[in-house]
Amino acid sequence: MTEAVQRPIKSSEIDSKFKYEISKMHGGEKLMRCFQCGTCTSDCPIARFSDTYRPRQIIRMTQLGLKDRVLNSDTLWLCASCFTCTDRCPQDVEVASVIRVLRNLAAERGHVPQVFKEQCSSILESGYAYKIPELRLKKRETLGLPPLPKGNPESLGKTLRTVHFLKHVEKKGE
Amino acid sequence: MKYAFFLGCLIPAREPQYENSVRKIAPELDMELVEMEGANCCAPFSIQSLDYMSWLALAARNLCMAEQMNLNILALCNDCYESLLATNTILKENHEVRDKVNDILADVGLEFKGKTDVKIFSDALYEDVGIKRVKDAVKKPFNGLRVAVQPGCHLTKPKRIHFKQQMGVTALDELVQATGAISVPYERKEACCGGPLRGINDEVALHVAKQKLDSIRAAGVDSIVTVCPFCFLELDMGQLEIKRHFKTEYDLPVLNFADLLRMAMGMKLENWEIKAHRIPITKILNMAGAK
Repeated sequence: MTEAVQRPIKSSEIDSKFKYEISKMHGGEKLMRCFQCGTCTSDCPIARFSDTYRPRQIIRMTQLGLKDRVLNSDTLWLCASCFTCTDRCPQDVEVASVIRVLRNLAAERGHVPQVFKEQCSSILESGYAYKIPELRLKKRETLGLPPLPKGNPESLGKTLRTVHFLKHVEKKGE
Repeated sequence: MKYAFFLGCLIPAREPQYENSVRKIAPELDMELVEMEGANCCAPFSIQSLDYMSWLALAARNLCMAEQMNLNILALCNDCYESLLATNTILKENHEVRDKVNDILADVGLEFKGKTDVKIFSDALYEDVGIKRVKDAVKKPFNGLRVAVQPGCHLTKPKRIHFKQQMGVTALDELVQATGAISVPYERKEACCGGPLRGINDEVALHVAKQKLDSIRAAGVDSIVTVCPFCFLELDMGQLEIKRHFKTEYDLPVLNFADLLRMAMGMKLENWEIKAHRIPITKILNMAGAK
């Protein structure tokens, strides 16, 4: 994102309504309270080792309305969701939740890391984000563990059809 | 005390020894684990990142099943705990969102009523069983074993959903001490293990794990003890990767808290469970019941 920031900002790429859009979404309500103190970035375990991931920068760009830069950026997906920023923000901005909200919007554009898409496919196939290998299931008995309770794929499929979940699986392979 | 037992996926897929220890400990402490037929993915942060309603609907399905069983949920994994607890809190507080989720769930005959609580294994031991009872059950204490407790982020964060915010860490410390071991403070105790970045940026993930391990080594401990299956993998298997990548060797055995308690209660780990640790735990096994 550093690269993106260094590129001069053109007034045409500013979406002044973006901050209101985010503030209306659950988790993004307190976006506008951020006064850029930088506590989030200085406490962030990822920012320490990443050259690009800076939660404060993501919040500022969102406030400024740099919608495309934020939503199209790979950096958005580096948050580890440890919630340290959220808990330490003196302004009570739920930083990690704002990032979740931004990711939801990025996902609508089809920007989803491959590993997350795979988890979606796995949920669709097996009901769980990590597929439990067949061998493991068979081995349980010899290990003295009871069989795993059965899922309910039919009911799960119905729920997933009602929400936006499926489109992330269908995008796989594109 | 009866619980709806939510196993999740990572533990049966990668760490059945954790599950086994919990199943062995539970009856000794009068914890009855009732299997959750029909349960599904908890919807961890990866899913939460894609679509808000998909997250809530997936998590709420599990909550509804526990409500129908008239039981609280017992989760073993920090991520399952975070997702189920956050969803439970949001749906209890926000009736507008609850109505939307219930509209989705009506198709499959489920309704969220807000009647269940979500607990993670260590909290259930601390709140429901009680430290005294746990202490009484310890037959072969790990006297003098120095332990770095790795709580894992979602045991206590974000504080908005953990009303007894720091209790999670304190509870786990006290539980570790109940086995006779010493919980040694260290600088990066509440920091991330790096695990969530696996598959997104492995390089950064390794650096984060290394910083944690450096901080643990500086505290001078015999073992790392965690409740989170992601932290377990990152810190156990991660040590092998760090050795290849940075040429740094820690040789720090990592145990799940349930394994530690089980041994302290006088129950031996089986061979396959010992072998499930990439960093050999021989040192700890030798100490088990030494005094």
